[in-house]
Amino acid sequence: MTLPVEVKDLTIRYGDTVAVDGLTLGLDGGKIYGLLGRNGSGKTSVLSAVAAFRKATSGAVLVDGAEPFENAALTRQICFVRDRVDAQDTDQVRAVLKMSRALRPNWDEEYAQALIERFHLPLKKRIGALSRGAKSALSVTLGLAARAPLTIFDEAYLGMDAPSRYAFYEELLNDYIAHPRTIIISTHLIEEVGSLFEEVVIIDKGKLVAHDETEALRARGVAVTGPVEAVDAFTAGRTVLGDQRLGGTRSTTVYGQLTDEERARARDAGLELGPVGLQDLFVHLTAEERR
Amino acid sequence: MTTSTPWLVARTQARAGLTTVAGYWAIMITIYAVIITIVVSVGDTDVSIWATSGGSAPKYFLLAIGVMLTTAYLPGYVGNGVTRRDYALGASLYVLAVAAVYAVIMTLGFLVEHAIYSSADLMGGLEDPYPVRSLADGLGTLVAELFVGIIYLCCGWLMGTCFYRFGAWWGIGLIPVTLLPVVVTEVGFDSLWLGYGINNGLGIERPALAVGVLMAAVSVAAAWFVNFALIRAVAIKKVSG
Amino acid sequence: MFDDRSPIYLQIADKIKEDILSGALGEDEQVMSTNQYASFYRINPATAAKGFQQLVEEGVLYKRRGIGMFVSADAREKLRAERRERFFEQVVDAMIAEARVIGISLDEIVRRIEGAK
Repeated sequence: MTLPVEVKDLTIRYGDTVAVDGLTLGLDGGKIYGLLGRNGSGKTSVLSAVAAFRKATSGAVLVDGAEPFENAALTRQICFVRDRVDAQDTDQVRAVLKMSRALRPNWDEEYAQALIERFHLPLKKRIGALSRGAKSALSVTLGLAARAPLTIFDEAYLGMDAPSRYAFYEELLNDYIAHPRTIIISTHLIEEVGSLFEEVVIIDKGKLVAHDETEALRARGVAVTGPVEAVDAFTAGRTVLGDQRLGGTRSTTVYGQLTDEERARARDAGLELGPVGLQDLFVHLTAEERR
Repeated sequence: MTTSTPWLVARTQARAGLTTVAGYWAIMITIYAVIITIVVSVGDTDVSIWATSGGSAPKYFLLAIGVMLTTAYLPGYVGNGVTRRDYALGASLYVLAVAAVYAVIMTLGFLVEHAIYSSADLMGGLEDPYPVRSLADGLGTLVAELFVGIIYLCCGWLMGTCFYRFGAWWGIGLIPVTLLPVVVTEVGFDSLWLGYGINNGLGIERPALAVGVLMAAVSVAAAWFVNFALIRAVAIKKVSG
Repeated sequence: MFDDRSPIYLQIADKIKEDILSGALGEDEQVMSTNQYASFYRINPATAAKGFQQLVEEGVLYKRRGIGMFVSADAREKLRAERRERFFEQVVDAMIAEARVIGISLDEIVRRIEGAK
């Protein structure tokens, strides 16, 4: 069971601040989606609205074709995982797990136990006494074991150290393969998680900047390096994301796919064409100033 | 799902609150037992100890339980896929249960104390006649305490919701408003001590039970519906700390 | 494991081709399922599937319904032929161009090759 997500002309305002500005986005579902955006880009607000944690100021949020807000049939299939658990500091870890076990229709207790062991979660400790990493680990454990058809991880592994994060990626991928569902991962650690994404969505300043298959998006960035004049001639008229200059050499990052003919021309002009990593592409697309 | 979600919420909440509620009453009853033993041995008192201790402390406890319902538990339920509506309905069942426990314990306490006072011959020293003198009184007390329990829980709940939704400043500012239903209910039942105090001060006679029930019912309805309306659209914020 | 140089699914395809050429993967031998591959290399299964699909289209792998993916009988020969075709252009011509740039005469190169015979 996988859930498609659609957002139409979504606007979310907090007082005078516009966090999400007429965003339209469609996710077919049944894939692992990466949601990239800088701090304050509005991505958490979008995810909050999709998860029915908050209502949109205007516009539509549709999960499986219906509005999720206060829609019990949908909310029980949606799991919104953040880096901390929604529980009191005095609650014990096992009490928190017990609550999810009681309320989540697809909860897998065996799987939860395996994850608890893998992340070394102390069952009797109170939430307030947990380290930041343990809180994150508990959060993702709840999110994974809930097996919700739409599972959203909003920078859920912020506090976790590298080994724990990689353990999480492994568990996530394996469980997704065994139980396909719609997973949205919002992250800053693009290069770490990038290989898990089937599609990538980039949001900046409350608007959609890009949405494509990961490979297609990656292919859209090209770094053109060579003598300054040659580079300038080649990149004239193209969308430039950024550039660097060292003496007589210039390296310009452009956005847009190049045809084979254009590639040949570049090589003939003595230019080197290099790939742009997803992280760099993201940085360039969301940079403050663009030529 | 074979069990409806509100029932699931009520059960989960009951399990979560069990130790707190049971613990509170255990302590309260123990303290009372100690005091009453002393009083019996001293041989003289001019008030009902149960009325004195039950007149305010348990109510603040109920208020506190109410406040925590939204602030401490709502995010957890929404985070587990429960709608605010189902949470509110389930928590209401829990409120009824906690209020029922309060009402039963309070009423039984009076009956027990009545027996103690009678056998220890303490009735004579009382300033005012003993509050619960007959079975009819007992039933009336049960009904009144049930409503009082519900209203303190509901108003505490409403208070917590205001804090959660509007923030600390407005939360504090709205406290007098959120306590209004409590005052009305207490006045309606001439409850010790708030209602009794107000009625006494204003020279109002103790209202008939039916009037009290009516005032309480209106108060509960008002508090509950406003709370429900505020909860239904509230945004779940990011967890801090 | 996989870098930014080219699409990951192509890198996957290339890796499998390497294994076939080196003999690590024999003809008519079953390859890992896309899910196993994805899990092992920690990539999205759709990406792995795309790489495998590429190889199926090129005739390097074939699918047996319900069982899995297998290396084609003539895969090794096919790949060698492909590489042979590109050898002269990509390796030899490039070597000659490089030699010219750094100032090595073609005679020197011929002598070197003679020595390796």
